[in-house]
Amino acid sequence: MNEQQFLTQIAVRLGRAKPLQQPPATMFNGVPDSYRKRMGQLGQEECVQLFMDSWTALTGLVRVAPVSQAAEAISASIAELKERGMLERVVYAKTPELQSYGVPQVLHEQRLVGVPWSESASAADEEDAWKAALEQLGTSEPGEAGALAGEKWQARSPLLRAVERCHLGIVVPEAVVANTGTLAVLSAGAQGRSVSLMPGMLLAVFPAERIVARMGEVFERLRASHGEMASLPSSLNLITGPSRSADIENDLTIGIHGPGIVSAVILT
Amino acid sequence: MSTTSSNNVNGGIGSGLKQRTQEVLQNDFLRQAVAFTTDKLRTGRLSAAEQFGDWEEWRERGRVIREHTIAHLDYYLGQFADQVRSRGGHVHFCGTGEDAVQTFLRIAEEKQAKLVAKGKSMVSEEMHLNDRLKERGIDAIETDLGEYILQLAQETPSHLIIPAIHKNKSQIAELFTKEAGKKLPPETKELASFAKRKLRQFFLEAEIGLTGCNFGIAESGTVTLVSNEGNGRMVTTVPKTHVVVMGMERLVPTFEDVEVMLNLLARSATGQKLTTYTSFITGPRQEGDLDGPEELHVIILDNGRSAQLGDPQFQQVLHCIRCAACLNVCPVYRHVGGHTYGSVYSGPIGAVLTPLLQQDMKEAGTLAYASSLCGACYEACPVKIPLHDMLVYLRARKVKEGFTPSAERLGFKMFGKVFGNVKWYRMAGKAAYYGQKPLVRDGVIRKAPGPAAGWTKSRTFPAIPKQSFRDSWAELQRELQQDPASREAAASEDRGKDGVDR
Amino acid sequence: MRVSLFVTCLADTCFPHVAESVVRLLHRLGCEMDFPPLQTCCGQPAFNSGYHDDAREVARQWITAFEHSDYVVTPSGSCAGMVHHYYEDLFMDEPEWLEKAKRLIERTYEFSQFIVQVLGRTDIGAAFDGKATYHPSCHATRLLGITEEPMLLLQQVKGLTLVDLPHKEDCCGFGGTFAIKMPEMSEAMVTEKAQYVVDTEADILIGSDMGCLMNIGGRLNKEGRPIRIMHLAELLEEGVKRREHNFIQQR
Repeated sequence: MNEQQFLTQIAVRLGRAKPLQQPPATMFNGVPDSYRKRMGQLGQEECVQLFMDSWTALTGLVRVAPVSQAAEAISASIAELKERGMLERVVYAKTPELQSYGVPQVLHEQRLVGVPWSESASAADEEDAWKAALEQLGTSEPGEAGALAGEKWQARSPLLRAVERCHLGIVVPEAVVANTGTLAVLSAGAQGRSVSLMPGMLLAVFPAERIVARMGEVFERLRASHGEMASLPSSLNLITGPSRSADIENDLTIGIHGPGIVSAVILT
Repeated sequence: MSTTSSNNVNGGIGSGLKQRTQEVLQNDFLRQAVAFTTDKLRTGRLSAAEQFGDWEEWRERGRVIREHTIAHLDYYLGQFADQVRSRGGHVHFCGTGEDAVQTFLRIAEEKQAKLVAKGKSMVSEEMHLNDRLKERGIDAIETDLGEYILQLAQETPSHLIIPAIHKNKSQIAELFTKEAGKKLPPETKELASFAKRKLRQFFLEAEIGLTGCNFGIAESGTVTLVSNEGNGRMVTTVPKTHVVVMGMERLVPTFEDVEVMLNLLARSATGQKLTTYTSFITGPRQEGDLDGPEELHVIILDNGRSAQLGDPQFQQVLHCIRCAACLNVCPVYRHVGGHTYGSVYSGPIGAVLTPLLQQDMKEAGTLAYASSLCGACYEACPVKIPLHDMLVYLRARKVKEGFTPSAERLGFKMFGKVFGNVKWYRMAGKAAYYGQKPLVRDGVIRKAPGPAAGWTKSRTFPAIPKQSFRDSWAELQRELQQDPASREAAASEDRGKDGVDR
Repeated sequence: MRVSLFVTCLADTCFPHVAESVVRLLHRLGCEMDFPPLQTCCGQPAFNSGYHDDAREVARQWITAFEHSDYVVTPSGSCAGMVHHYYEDLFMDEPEWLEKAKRLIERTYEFSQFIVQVLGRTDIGAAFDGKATYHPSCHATRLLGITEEPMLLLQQVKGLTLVDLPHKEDCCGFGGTFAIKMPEMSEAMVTEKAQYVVDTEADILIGSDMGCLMNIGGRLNKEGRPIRIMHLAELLEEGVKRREHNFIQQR
C-alpha cells in the first residue's frame, strides 16, 4: 500500500474524499492555562531551588557556584564522583562553553584521561597522536562488551569505541527544567549522543539562566533559537535523573544502560 | 489471521479464555506479584496526579488533543511523513502486519543484518516480528530488561509497562544463570548488573536498532521515545540503522501537545513526574554528527486501526497512549494477569483493542466479557477513553454478528418479553419462588443448577421470599396512610434538642 | 413532594424489606410515596450483555411506568446509572422515546443522592450502635459520581462506628451477568473483597446496591462469617426507629 492510498483510506473513513491539505484549526495550545500560569509565576531563584529539590529527589548531586569559579566547582564535583566509583577516563563535549569553564584543565589537574568529543585533534600536528590515543583507549583496553561484540565493534569509529570505555561524560544542557529535575541535552556536532549515555556517570554544567520552570519553556527557547522545530538537531534528550529499572519484582535498580550517577553544576 | 499471539498461550483467545482463567487462578505467586505491583503503580499514579493538581483539567486537555489528532489523522500523518523525509529519513506505510514484516526484512537484507537490538515495541509484538526474523536467521534481542527476561523465558509481555510483572527473582535468576553459564543469586542488583553487561554487547554489535514510537510529532517529523533504563537511547545511538515501527495513530500535532502527553503518560504509567529519558529523534544523524544512526526508517502501520475511524463507538480507542493505567486498576487483570487474555494487548484496553484490530468478534470478541463493567479503567484513563462503554458495545456487536450461544440468545429474548410486560414479569416471579423451593435450606440456596452453578460454587444465593415488594405494597400503603408524615415533626424536634443538623 | 419508588427487579423479588425501608424513610422525611405498578426492570442485564433490542423492550416498559412521575428514587446506583448513562444511547434513533427518556433522566435519583441533593438532609435522626464498613458500588461512584452522599448520611448516625474498607474502590465481582458468565473471575474478586470486609472486623457491611451486597453477602455466608449485610436504607430506617424508641423511653 503506498502513501497516497494509505492516507486516502484514512481520509475516506473520516468522511473526506481525499486527505486534508490545510492545517486544521486547533482550539487548544499545550498545557492547561492554570498550570502555565502557576509555573509562569516562578522567579529565577525559585526555579533554581525547585530544580535542586527535584534533582536531588532523583538522587542527583548538585553544586552551585559563581561562574568565575566554574573550574573549582567542576573540580569539586568530579572529586565527589571519584568517591562514588571508578573514574579514570572522561569524555566531554568539545564546545567553547565547556572549554571556557576550564574542563580540559580540570581533568588534567585531576590526572584523568580527557576525551573531547571529536574525531580530530585541535591542532593539525597532533592529529596522529590523537588518533593513536583514541585507538589505544578503544582497542587496547576493550571492555567485556566490546570484546564480546568482536570484529563488528572493532570496525566502528575509534571515538565511539573510546567513549564506550569512559567512566564519566560531561555535557552542557541547552536548558534545564525545574519542576521535573530535567536536563534538556541537544546532541549534534561537538556534543554527541553517546557523551550523556555511554559512561556510567554524567556531569552537566550550565548557567542558572538556563533553568526554566516547565518543559514547554524549553520548546519555546528552541523555537526561538532554531526557527522551526524541524530544524532541531537530530537528537534532543530530556534526562530526568539516573538510568533506572523496576522490571525485576518492581524493585528499583539504578544505573542500567545509561549513567547511574548524575551530577549538576549550576553557575550563577 | 492468527488467533493466538504466542507459544505460551493455550487455546484461542476466546475459546481458551475459561481454561486459562482457571489455570492462572491456581498460580498464587503470579496473582500476588501482579496485585503487589499494580497496587504500587496505582498508588504512584494517584499521588502523582494529586501532587500535580488540576488532574481533571489535564485529562480533558489530553483527551482533546488526542481527539483532534485522530479526527485529522490524514493531515497529520502526511505532515509527519513529509518532515521525516525532509530530514533524510525514510517512511514506509504498511496496511498489515505482514506488509510491515516484509518492509523490515527488506531493510535488514539490504544492511546484511544478523542482529537487531530492540527497544520496547508493542507494535513489533503485533507483527510477531521476532519469530519472523528468526526464520531468516536474524537474531532480534529485546533490550528492555523486562522484555529480555521474557525473551529468555520464551514468553510474551503480560503488562504494557512492566512486561515481566508475573516473574519473580528466583525465576529470573534461573533464566539468567542458564544464559550466563554460572550461578547467579536471586538478587535484583546482581541480576540487573548481569543483564546490563550482557545487553551492552548486543548494543555494540547490532546492525539495526529497532524501536517503537511513543509520540510522533507531526510539525517536525520527530519520533519521541521514553525509557527509564536507557535502552531506547542505546539502540538509537550505536547501531548504524534505526528502524521505527509505529501504529499510525501515535501522533500529536506539536511539541506543545507532547508536553501535555508526556506529563500524563509518566504520571499515569509509573507515578513518575517524567520518565528518565525522553528522546526526541528528528531524522538520522546530520552533517557533522559523530554518532547516531546513518539511516532512519519509519514504518507506519495500520493493521486494523483505520477500520475504527469514523465509528462513533470505537474511534476513541485510537486515543490510547499505552500507559497501562487501566490494567493497574482493573480488578479482573489484578486476578488473572496479562497472559490470560491470550492476546498481545491485555487488560481493559486489550479486551477492547484486540477484537477491534483483528476485526474478529467470534474469538477475540469474547474478551469483552472479561470485565465486570466497573468503570475503573475509564476513571484511570489519562485521555478519558470510555472503555467500559466500549466493552458493552463490543458485546452488542458480537450479538449482532450472531456469535453468542443460542441458549443465551433465547434467554435474553425471553427476558425482553417477560420483563417488558408486567403481567408476565409477575408470573415469572411466582414461578421463580416455587421453582427454587426444593433448593432452599435455612433461607439460602447453596447449590444451584444450570448457569447459576458457577455462582453457588463460591457463594450462596438468598432465597426468594413468598411476598414480593409489589405484593406487600397495598399493605404498606395503608400503614403509611394511618401514619401521616407528622412523625417527621417529632423527629425534627428531637434533632433540634441535640443541636445537630441545620 | 411526590416521589415514585423504582424498586428494581432484584429488590422487588429478593429483597422487598429494603424497598420497604426506602418507602418508610422517605415518607418520614415528608415525601408522598407511590409505586407505579407497571414497572419491572431497567433492562440492564440485557443491555450489558449486548442484547440491546431486548433491553430496549424492557426500557420502554420502564419509561411507560414512570412517565408521569415527578421524582423517581431507587435503592440502586447501578439501575439509576443504567437510566442516566445509557438510556439516551438506547433510544438514539427513536425521538419520541428519547424525549421521554431525557425527561426521566433528570428526575431519577439513587436513594442517598436524593436525600442529600434533593431533600438537602444529612442527619435524619438515626441511631445505631455497631461497627460498620461501607462498600461503594462501582456504578454509583463512577456512572453517577456519588462519592460523598452515603458517607455524609452514615457519619450522622449516632453510635455507629465506621471503618474504612481497604481497596473499597475495587469491584466486588458481581457485574450482573458477569458473575454468571465468568464465575471464576467473579469468584476471585469476591473472595478478596470478602476478606477485606472480614479484615475490618466490622459487624455490618453496608452498601447501596443489592447486587453487590448479594454477592459479597453470599460469599461471607458461604465462609460462615456472621457479618450482617444491610442496605443503607435499611440501616437508616432501623436507626430512626431505634432513636425514636430511645427518645420515647427517655421521656
